[in-house]
Parts: sequence; structure tokens; C-alpha cells
Amino acid sequence: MKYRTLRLILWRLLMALPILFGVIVVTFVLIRALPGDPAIAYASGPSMDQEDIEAIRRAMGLDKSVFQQFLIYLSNIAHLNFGTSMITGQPVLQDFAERLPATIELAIVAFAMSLIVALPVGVLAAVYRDSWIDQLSRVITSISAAMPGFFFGLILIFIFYFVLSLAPEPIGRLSGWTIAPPTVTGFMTIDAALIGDWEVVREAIVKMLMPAASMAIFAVAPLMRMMRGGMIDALDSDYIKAARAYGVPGWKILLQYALPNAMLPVLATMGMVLSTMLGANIMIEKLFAWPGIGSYSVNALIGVDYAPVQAFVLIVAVLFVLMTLAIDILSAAIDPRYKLKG
Amino acid sequence: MNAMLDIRDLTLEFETPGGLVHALDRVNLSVERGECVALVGESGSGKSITGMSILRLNGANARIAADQIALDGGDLQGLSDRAFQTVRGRRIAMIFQNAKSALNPLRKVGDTLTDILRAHAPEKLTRRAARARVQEVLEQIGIHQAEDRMLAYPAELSGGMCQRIMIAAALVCEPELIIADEPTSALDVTTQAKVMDLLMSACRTRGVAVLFITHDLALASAYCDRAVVMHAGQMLEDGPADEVFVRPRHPYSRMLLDSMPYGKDAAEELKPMGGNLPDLRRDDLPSCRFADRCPRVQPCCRTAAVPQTALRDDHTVRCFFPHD
Repeated sequence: MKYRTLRLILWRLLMALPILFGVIVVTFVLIRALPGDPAIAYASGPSMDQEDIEAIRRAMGLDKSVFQQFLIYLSNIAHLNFGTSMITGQPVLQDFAERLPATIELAIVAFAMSLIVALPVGVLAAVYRDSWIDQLSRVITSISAAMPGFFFGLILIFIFYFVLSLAPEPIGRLSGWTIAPPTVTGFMTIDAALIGDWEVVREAIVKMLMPAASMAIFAVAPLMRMMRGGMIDALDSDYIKAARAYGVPGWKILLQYALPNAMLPVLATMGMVLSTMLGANIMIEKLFAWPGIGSYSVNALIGVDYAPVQAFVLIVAVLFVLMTLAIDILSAAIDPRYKLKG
Repeated sequence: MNAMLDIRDLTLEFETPGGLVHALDRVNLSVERGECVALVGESGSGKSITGMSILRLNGANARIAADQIALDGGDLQGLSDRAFQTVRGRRIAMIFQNAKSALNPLRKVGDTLTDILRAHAPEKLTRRAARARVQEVLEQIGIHQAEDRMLAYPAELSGGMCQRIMIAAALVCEPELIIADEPTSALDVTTQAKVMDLLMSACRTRGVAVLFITHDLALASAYCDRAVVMHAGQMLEDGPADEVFVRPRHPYSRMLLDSMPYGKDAAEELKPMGGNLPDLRRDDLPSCRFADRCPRVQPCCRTAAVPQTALRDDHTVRCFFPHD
């Protein structure tokens, strides 16, 4: 059984390669179709003439045909060389290694926040249908679906920082005068905890609350709707009716019969939500000056910096593939019918 | 001696957005100890709802009124919901039509059976002991490799095997009454007979009373002692199975029998049932809800309360003009 599962995972990873190749092609073509010439952009100083610009172009390899450039790019990726950022002057891989933990840490907190709000309310709304809590869930869902995350962030900043002064200034992971712990994992909370600096742990968490809440808001609606819908379907099912008819205790029916069945559709949504949080929350990172991969990539895009943008899209695609796989493995662990389909 | 199950004047209404549905109208029903009673009628006649209301499974919008719903002489209506939990599964068990969907798809069937047993265990029953008892019941009803079956998920078992598991679920707490709601309707005919034999012999040897809900008159006459015919939420005829199915007295029972292929020589003898069930949301339902379809209908059938006439000690019919 273990062997079979392992083989399935490997097969799925193999099947992801064509998808990633497609992503590479599309990104490569699209970014070259964008207006802006990197060689001109990075030809520093107005005194540079056409010859200097051409020299830069040659140095960047942009004088070759697009097809040749693509082959070089592919072989570089195969050697895990994602190029060098023209803006930071560092290898792209190193830039991402520095920034990815910040994004992941924020995404995890935001994900946890959305789950804590969405799942219990969704379950209660299904159990007590049309009660006040069901109405509350409808209100929360509507607000969550209608509210853009960055706008919610602005409201939070206005209320909690500007008016009430409860929140710290909404810039970065730590305030300017706090000395950051030495980087081990890149996760600020864990790194601070490793050296036992609980004051910094607390500050890192507090700093994350507002951006995480802004990120979490969009996820609450789909999660809560799926949880409520899944729970209603489960509660109306024959096996719940049968369990009731056999006098199985109510709490057991709720926790061991209804909830696991209701979680299956929620799991798929959870995968989608977490992937989006990791890859597509550029606005939030910009708003809170969060030093993650989102804000870094936007800067690269504006600065016609090819290498980081290409790498960003590829990394996000890999995250999506891994997340989908993780959700599938989790679903198979819960649902025996999933395994049967192979 | 008290009857095992004795229902007097059970009336049930559903509150729906479309109005009040008059689902059951003064239903009388009794099942003696060790007896098997068939509850027959076409779809929508209120058979299943009658079974459900005994176990209070009709949902929050159901309004039940009854003179009594007595199990072994004790009225169940006075019980609190908490106390009623000890009736469900323990004293009255139910078998459902679609066994596959009646078993939790994410739980091994052995665990589901153990859940039921442990829900009613008098004192703390260990998991081991419960599993041993479940395995014993499965073996008693002739399931091979019971230990392996207990580790299977419902999706891995056939419909017939799932229904056998459900029968074991019904038997595991040694109930006094089993309500079997179309237990074999979802199975193919070859499996049907096997599962019916299994269910009935298990009940007969244990002396469990059975209320067998079905639309299949052949099955009902083959396995049951008594038959109760229902139509549109009213009980129309109640008598020994061999009488009801051979010489029905109520016009509806007769039409029901005429519409079934069993025992007929030519297709021409088959007479499809005319008309439809009345809309139970109507507030002006005729006093006999069969009046609109009845060949012997008279004006009084729609207005006057129809008496329940005893033709013999054990055969009653609710009709002004029964057949001879």
C-alpha cells in the first residue's frame, strides 16, 4: 500500500512537468512581449551612447535570437541557475531564499486566521440552520466576498494604527529599532524563539496581524460557504439518518460522521486558498511593505528585470503543484474511495 | 399480554412553505410479539413516514399527534429526547432501503457497528469486547470472513453485503422490534431473496417483531403474517396476509392486487391503477382519501367519517362498502 502511494506521488510529480514547461514558455514569451528594453533601462547615465547600450545587450545575452535565449534559459534552469537580478545585483535564487520565508510565514498566519473564523461558523451555521448564527455567516460571507483585501488593509491601518494607535506601524516584519534575530529558518517568529527572545516573537506576531487579516478576508467567504454546504449535505445524508436511528450519540454523529464527510469539499478549497495566499497577494505585501516574494517580483516587473519575474512565476507554479498534491494526499488519507480511484 | 407495538390514531402533519401537508390520518397499527407485519401501499402512501415517526426521525417540521405509540405497553411519546436515545437502535432498530448510503462512507463498517453497540452498552464496554460481539453477530447471520469484512469500507462491499451489515447493525443490540423499510428494493432479485431469508430467519429465531415496509406484495405475502394496506396516509385494511392478498376486502387492496403481475395468466388481466394520490396539501381532503379513485364511491365516502369495521376478529377494513 505504501509502495503504491509512493508510486502515485512520483507519477503525479512527473505529470506536473509538462505543466511547468508550459508555464516557462508562456512567461518567457509574455515578458518579452511587454514594452520596455532592459538594455536601455540598465544603461546607466545619459552619457552612454548606442555602442554602450549594445554592449550591455550583449552582456545580458539579449542580442541572440529569442529561440536561442530560450534554450539558454532552459539549460540554466536545469542547472538551477535562475539568473541574476539587475536590480539587486544578486542571484535570483538567493533573493528568493531571503524573501520566501516572509511570504510563507505571513500566508500561514493568514490561512490559520481564515480557518479559525470560517470553519466553526460554517459548521454552526449548518447545524443551526436559519438561526442567528446562520444569518451571521451570511453577513460575514457577503462582506468577505465583496471586500478587496488591500482596501480592508487600508481600513485596518486607518482604525487600529491611525485612529486608535493600537497597532504598530504597518511597515515590514519588525520595527526599525528592533534587532532582528540571526536568520536560521527565515521565519521571524521561529528565529526569535530559537534565541529565546520572546519580546521579538511577540512583536513579529503583532506585526503580522493586520497584513494577515487583510490576506485572510478573501478566503473566509469560499471556506465558510463550502464548510456550511458540505455540512448540510452530510447532515441530510442517509448515513446520518441511520446513525440517528441507531441511537449513536449526537456529538459522535457530528464529529465522526458529519464533519469528516463535510471536510472533503472544504479541503479542495483550502488548497486553492493557501496557494493564492502564497502566490498572489502582491497588493497586501506592497501595502504593508512586507519583504516577501510578491513585492519583490512587482518591483522586478516594473523594472523590466526578466530573471526574477520568470523565476517568480515558476516558483508560484511549483507551489501550486505541490499544494494540489498535498491536498490530494490528505483527501486520500480521509476518504477510502479516493484511493480506489488511484 | 400487550402487543409489541401498538399505535393508536397517529396523525402527522408537515409544516412546509407550500402549506400544511396532511401526511398521516389517524393510523392504527399493531405488531404482536414475534409477528411480522407488512405495511404495503404505493409510493407516497405514508408507509415510510409511519416507520420514521415511530423513531421520531421525521425532522423538525413534523407535527405528530397520537393517542399512543406504545412499545410493549409503554407509551414512547412521554419520553424526553434523551431517554428516547435508549429506544433507538436498542429497543427498536431500523433497516433502510439503500444500505450503501446508510453506512458512513468514511468509516470501516466494523467501526460503525461497534459505534452502535457502544452507544447502548450498559456499562463501559471495551473496544475489544464490542468488536468481538459484532464479529459474533456477523458470523451468526452467515457472513464469511467476518473479521476481514469489518475492516472494509462500504464502497468496497456489494449492495447485498452492505444490507447484510445493516441487518447485523439492527440485530447487534438485540432489539424487540425491527422496522425494515424496503430492505431489499435496491438489490437485484437474486440477492433479494437471500437477504430476505436472512432477515426473516434471524428475526424468527430471536423472536423479534418486524414491521416490514414494502410495495412488493409478493415479498409481503411470502414472508409476513399480517398485512396492513395504506393509501395517502390512511390505513385502509388490516388482516392476515393470506386473506388480504388472496381475498382483499377493500376496493383499494383489490385494485392494488389487480395491478400486480403475480398469479396472472395473461397480460390482459393486469389492470393498471387508475388515478393519482390526492394532493395532501389540500385542506378539503375527502374523508376517505381514496374516494376520487374508488369504483364503489358514494357521496357519504367524502363527507362522513369512515368507520373501521371489523369483518372478523383479526381482519378490519376502513370502508363503507367493502367487497364481500
